[in-house]
Amino acid sequence: MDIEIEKAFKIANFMTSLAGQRRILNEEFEQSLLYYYDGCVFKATEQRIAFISAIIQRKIKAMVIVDDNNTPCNITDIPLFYKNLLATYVEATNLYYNKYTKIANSKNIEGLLAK
Amino acid sequence: MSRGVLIFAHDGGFEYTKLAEIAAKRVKQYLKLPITLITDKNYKDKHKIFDTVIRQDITYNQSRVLKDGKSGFEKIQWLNFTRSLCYDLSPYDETIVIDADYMVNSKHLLSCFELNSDFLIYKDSFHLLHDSYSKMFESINCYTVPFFWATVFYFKKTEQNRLLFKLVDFIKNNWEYYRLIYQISDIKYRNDYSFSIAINLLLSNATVNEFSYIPGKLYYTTDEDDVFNNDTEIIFDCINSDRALFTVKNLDVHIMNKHALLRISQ
Repeated sequence: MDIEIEKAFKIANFMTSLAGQRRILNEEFEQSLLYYYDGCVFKATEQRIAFISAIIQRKIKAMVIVDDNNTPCNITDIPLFYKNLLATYVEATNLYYNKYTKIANSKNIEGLLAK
Repeated sequence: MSRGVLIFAHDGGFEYTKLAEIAAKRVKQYLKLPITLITDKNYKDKHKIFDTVIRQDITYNQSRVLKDGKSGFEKIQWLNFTRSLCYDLSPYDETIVIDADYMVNSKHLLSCFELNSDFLIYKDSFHLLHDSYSKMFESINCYTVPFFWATVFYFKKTEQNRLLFKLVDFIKNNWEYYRLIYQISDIKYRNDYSFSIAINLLLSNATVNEFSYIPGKLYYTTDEDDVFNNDTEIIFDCINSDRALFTVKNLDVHIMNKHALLRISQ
């Protein structure tokens, strides 16, 4: 095979691996955003964090919030709930950023797979 | 309340019990839960991997073709008829049931114990390499009966769950009838189908989306994908490309290429 074509296939394989790795990382990130509270599950989204923040600003200490499975959940300590939700978000995004940067800087498939 | 993991493995031309050992080691590593193996009477737990071994005879028999990545395929016996008995067989109050080829890679399944649900199962799935596969597992037929994965599920010992498993068993025993009624083209009996039909029968179509799911998605690769590493991370080779590789960390994966799993564990 022509050397140039072989090189093009090598790059194509790398791009496929990179795209696949990004998809997997994104799934890992989505899963790590889940926060469990009193039998309910909440995804730590920017929208939810902003909503809870607005509740705190109104000095509301306890409130019923509907979780991701449409189950009403009685949050008895809103500030603590907010703290944990935000911590889940920060931890997940930081991990996602670190892993994403690592693969983005990879120049070959071996680099993508490096631990 | 006792909690544990149940793994089914019946050797029939393929060493499913070996797969179960690999799966069990990962369960111990990540979930730290006691494990019960449901298997044939000939199996000996030489390495004391399982906390309990329950012998259960198989009365039915069927075969299937099992691919091994790009290198070939093999016709094997597929002894998957005991899953409906897990309510009676489980020694635990709260049980997580996993397939022998389900590789736990995180603490994610522990979240089942955190939720206020008596029964949890995966509905959404995600093929790690191709978007197009996941559409295949949205419904069990060409209509709209949702597909549920019997690969992993969680249940508590409640009266409702006892009836659910009774129903699954009934569907299994009358598989030909239900296969025709639900217009399932696959002749082989699959636990995914019987669980999906049972859930569909228990709940009306209007409420099926309100059923409780394990949070997140079931991640999987097919038997056409190869696996190269099975240490703390798993590396896959994609069938559509010779050298496109992927690595997975922190996600549990249902690896359907059983040959590859056995190969890398030896």
